[in-house]
Amino acid sequence: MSQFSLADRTGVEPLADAGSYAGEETSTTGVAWGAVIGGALAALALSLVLVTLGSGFGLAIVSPWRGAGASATTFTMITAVWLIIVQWLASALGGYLTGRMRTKWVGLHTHEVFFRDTANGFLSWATATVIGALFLVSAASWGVNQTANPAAGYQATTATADPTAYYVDTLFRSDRPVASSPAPDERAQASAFW
Amino acid sequence: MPADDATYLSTLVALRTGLSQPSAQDRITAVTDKMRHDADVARKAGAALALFTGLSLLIGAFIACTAGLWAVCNGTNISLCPL
Repeated sequence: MSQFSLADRTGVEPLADAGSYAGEETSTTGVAWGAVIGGALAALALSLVLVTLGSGFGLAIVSPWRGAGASATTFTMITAVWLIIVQWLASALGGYLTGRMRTKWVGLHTHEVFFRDTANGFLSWATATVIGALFLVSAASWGVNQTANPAAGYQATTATADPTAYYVDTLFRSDRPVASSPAPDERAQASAFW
Repeated sequence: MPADDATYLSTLVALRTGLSQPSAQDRITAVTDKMRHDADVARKAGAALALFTGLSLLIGAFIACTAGLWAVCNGTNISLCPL
């Protein structure tokens, strides 16, 4: 890498030439959108891979079993550290690719180049975060639609069962279960108290 | 739970389970406590998940900025690079 001069990598001309750009203004923005979107997609893909790997190691945040996911029972420190590692690696890849994949800027002050590459790295992170959030939200709403649909089948119906059902069951447990089963309206009344 | 609600519910439970009224009340108290405890555990886990998701995203933002800057600093005259 070190055989490249500063001008090669940053597009900065020697100081003697700096005056020749005075008064000139390009019509292009400082945002290299192609590189930003590419970096964002790379970050998203890497975080997807890492999250899948983490699930393989038992660090799943979402579990198919109701009440068994980390969000419902235990959110361990290992899961927290893994979240941070995933974000760290994915963002580093996305930001680095964004910085490397843009076309060279000509006639810019070094500090402006440094700022633009920092900002482009930030934009690739922001793009990846927004796309990822939209994906998560649509996945969640898809799940809600599935369970809200009465034709969606038995699995869905049981998943939307009354959250207090277990506690009402506990309340009405008895040594003589058949004779003492509470009527549905009594269950509903008991459930309403909570 | 309001007192008259508790009385009514304990009557209901006593009728259906054959427990005495005080035992039914004890059971209601125990089940209510357990439910509150379970809900509290779930709430705390949810809060921790949100906290660490936000924290990791903030760290990711910083790392993405640094990586973008490092991409151009890498291989240049290092004394000019703010990193």
